[in-house]
Amino acid sequence: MADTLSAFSIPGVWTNLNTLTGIAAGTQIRIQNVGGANDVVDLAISATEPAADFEGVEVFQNAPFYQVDAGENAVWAKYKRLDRADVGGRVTKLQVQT
Amino acid sequence: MAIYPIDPGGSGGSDIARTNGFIDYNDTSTTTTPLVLNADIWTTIPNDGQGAFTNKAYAPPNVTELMDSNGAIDATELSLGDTIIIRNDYTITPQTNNGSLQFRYGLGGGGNEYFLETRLSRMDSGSGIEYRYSLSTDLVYMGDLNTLNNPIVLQINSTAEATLVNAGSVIFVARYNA
Repeated sequence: MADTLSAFSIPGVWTNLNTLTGIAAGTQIRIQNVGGANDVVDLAISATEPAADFEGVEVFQNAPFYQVDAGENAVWAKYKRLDRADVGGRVTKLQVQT
Repeated sequence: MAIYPIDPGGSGGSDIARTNGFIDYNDTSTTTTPLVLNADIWTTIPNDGQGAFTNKAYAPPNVTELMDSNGAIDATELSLGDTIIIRNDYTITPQTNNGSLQFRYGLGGGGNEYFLETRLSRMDSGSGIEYRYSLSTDLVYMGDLNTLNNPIVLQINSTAEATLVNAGSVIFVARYNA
């Protein structure tokens, strides 16, 4: 089993998790939101960057790990706030493990 | 599904935010043309859900709508045992002072209709004044298929001739099987 990777910073725009983590697209990964109480991470599987208003799978803080199956396209993540406040230049933290 | 939560404990329900949820329906149909309330007549409150403050971003999983385009609560996407908490927001302007108000939900269908009714505060500060009724919540549970599968209408009865502007209703769903 691979060593634990330190949490990755996710901004308020769609970010390619495979590029960010160095984990090849199509690899099974497990993801957990380790950000603040109001931090929500939107996830999407897509070969290309989703549109800014695309609504993906929401992962809340303290939710269990989410799994992305092997063989899928690239995984994208975007930070948004539970209270819908403007994220601005802030980031949240996401654990990504193989 | 390619992205899904892992629940090694098998307990489920730990992610409460993905089990419950709400939809807020903001009406525009009575904004410019208020609903006329004839005295002592039960009148159904409309809600077209077309207002700018309609919010469906936090609906419970697998629920797309909780109200139809006429303003009746639509619980058909819920299950027996689920509970809804409703917060209505409307403003009534009576033409005479001291009118009394009653509100009710009309539930069921097919000859098995029934009502959940309450009396609201009397409009005794004068006529031509806006009386806003908001922030209070009501609870309806899906105890049988008659309740679950039929529209739930919102109705108002004023002893004074009046007009009503509906801001809307937010409907929160608490799941029985989390």
